[in-house]
Amino acid sequence: MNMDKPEQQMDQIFQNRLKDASVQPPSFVWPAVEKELRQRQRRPFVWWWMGGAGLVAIAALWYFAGNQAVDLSTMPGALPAGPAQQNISVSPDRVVNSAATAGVTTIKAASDVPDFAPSPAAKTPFVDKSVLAGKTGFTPVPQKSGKVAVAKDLPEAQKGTEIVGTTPVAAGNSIFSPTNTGELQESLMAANTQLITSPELLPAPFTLLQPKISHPSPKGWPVKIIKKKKDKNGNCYDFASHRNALLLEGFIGPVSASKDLSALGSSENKQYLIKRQQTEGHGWGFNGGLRATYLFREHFSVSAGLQYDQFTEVFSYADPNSIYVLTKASIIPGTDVIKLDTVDIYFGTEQTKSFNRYSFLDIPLSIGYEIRQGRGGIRAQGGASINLLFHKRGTIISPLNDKPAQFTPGKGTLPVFNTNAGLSLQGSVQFFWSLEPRTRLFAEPYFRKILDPVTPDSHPLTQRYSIWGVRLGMAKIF
Amino acid sequence: MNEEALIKSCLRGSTQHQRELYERFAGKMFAVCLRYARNSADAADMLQDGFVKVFTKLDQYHFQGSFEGWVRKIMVNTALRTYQRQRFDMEHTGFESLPEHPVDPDALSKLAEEELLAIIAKLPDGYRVIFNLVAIEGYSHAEVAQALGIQESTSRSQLTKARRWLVEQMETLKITL
Repeated sequence: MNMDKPEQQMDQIFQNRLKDASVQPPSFVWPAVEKELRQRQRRPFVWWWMGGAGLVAIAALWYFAGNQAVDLSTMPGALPAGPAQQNISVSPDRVVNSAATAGVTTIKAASDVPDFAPSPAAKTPFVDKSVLAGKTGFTPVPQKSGKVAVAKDLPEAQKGTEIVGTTPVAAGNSIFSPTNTGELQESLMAANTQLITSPELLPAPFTLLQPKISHPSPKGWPVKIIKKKKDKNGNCYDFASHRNALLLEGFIGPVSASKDLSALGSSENKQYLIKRQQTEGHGWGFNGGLRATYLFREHFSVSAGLQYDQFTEVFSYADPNSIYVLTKASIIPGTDVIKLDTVDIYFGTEQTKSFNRYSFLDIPLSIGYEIRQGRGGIRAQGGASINLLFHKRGTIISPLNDKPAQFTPGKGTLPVFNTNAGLSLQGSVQFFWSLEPRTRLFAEPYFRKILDPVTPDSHPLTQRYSIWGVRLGMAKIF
Repeated sequence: MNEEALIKSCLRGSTQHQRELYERFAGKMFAVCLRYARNSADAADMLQDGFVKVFTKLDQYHFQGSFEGWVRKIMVNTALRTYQRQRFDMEHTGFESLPEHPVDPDALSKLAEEELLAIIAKLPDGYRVIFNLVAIEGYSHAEVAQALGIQESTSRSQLTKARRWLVEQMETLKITL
């Protein structure tokens, strides 16, 4: 018997009947597709948000560090010693006068240029002795009385700016002997100081030199020397003289939680996952807490405290095939028999709505770095958070019968969640403003990822949480 | 709205038109998934995964060729990935000795589509996938071998076994000659 022909006929029949067949899919497929598409659209947003926040933090760090005012008057002695390539810095009370022929006069600011009458400031060597004596061989000479008359002749527009100019100055005003001026120039050149002549910007005697002077901060950050911004209100804590401080911070703010449900294994679990996704909504809530932060070496911080996060998710479920039977029970007179009468039967859809509450009490431990400018500043922090309490209360679809069931810990409820949420990783960026020297207001966006699922292994799904929020609060400095 | 306008609207992110596109093809694609799946729950999973891929990769459709064919290919690939870990050469081979009864084409034609799908669903995974790919979709054994990472000879023998298995099923339904 030839099998090919009838089997090919069979293939043809299957092909004809099934290739373009159409079967109505289950109604839950489209909502599941839609939900997954929405989640996929949200994921890039989350990454963009985190990337953007990181860029803002880096930009802020760069901005603050790049424009940090250097108060040389608070620096011990003078400039730090270093190799010849180390940049040389100047300050208002450290004016370099040179010989008439090749000298360099540096004027920090017209308003700041002091009369060169003998004063304690004027006697202070304006260039680090170690730089001059130790590295270049110069011998500082105590400054004699004198005056840079031309400084006061500066145009008003140029006051308050950095100006470095050359001008003929009597040799007697120089702290260097004329023979040393050439060496001074060499030293400046060796120090990578770029001098750009712009004579049109100064009165005739001047040749404007725009110095590209930078100065290594005590931390090694390159910072430009700018006119010191005076804190007219005196509202900032003096970190220059008190490099360590303890901050007690209290905060409260909004919280949002994103839940990641996943099912591995059987298709039954996937069905259950879809039902959970269809019946549970997004979580919103609030946070609050207390934190102690120790700031050391002006910029570094270590924090620990207590943080409470609470959010609510809406559970809504509709059972379209609900039947309620209203019965009346009565005892038949003269007997012990109870008679049940059906009074009414209701058919319809039963709606169940529950506001599921999840709350976490954690001990956050963070390290950070703080930079300040004027009354404001920014602190980036990162670390871990250890969960103390994980409270949950509400209703979800039961994996046993697909009906709503309570998961609030207690007798006869579903064992859906672990007793403790475990370890989280967290990061935050705090933006603060000094109200007064020892009081700050701050806003601090933060992100916390709970590392382990909050569900036990026995549950058909794994449920993970990420928490976003903003801490709005006040800090007192001790 | 014609198909091209509908696709372009979906590309712009219109949820309403995504749903319209889904409804336009969901029935046919669910039938495809049912042919490859062990049961309707697995078929629904395949349909969901397949349509998520359709919408996320829609920009890769360049309006050349049939859109339905493009969607069907995604569904078939999704189905194949579901069972890609199956070892086709380890499937049950106990049908070699079965009596070879030809199928009665008239009786087979009288079966409803759901009944045909139910028969196919009972096939072991390996037989079912290869029977679908070769007998219904019309792929060659070489293409199937490449897609599944198996030998052509394996594909041929699996198809033969699948046919014999189906014949046995027909026999139980009294639709053999």
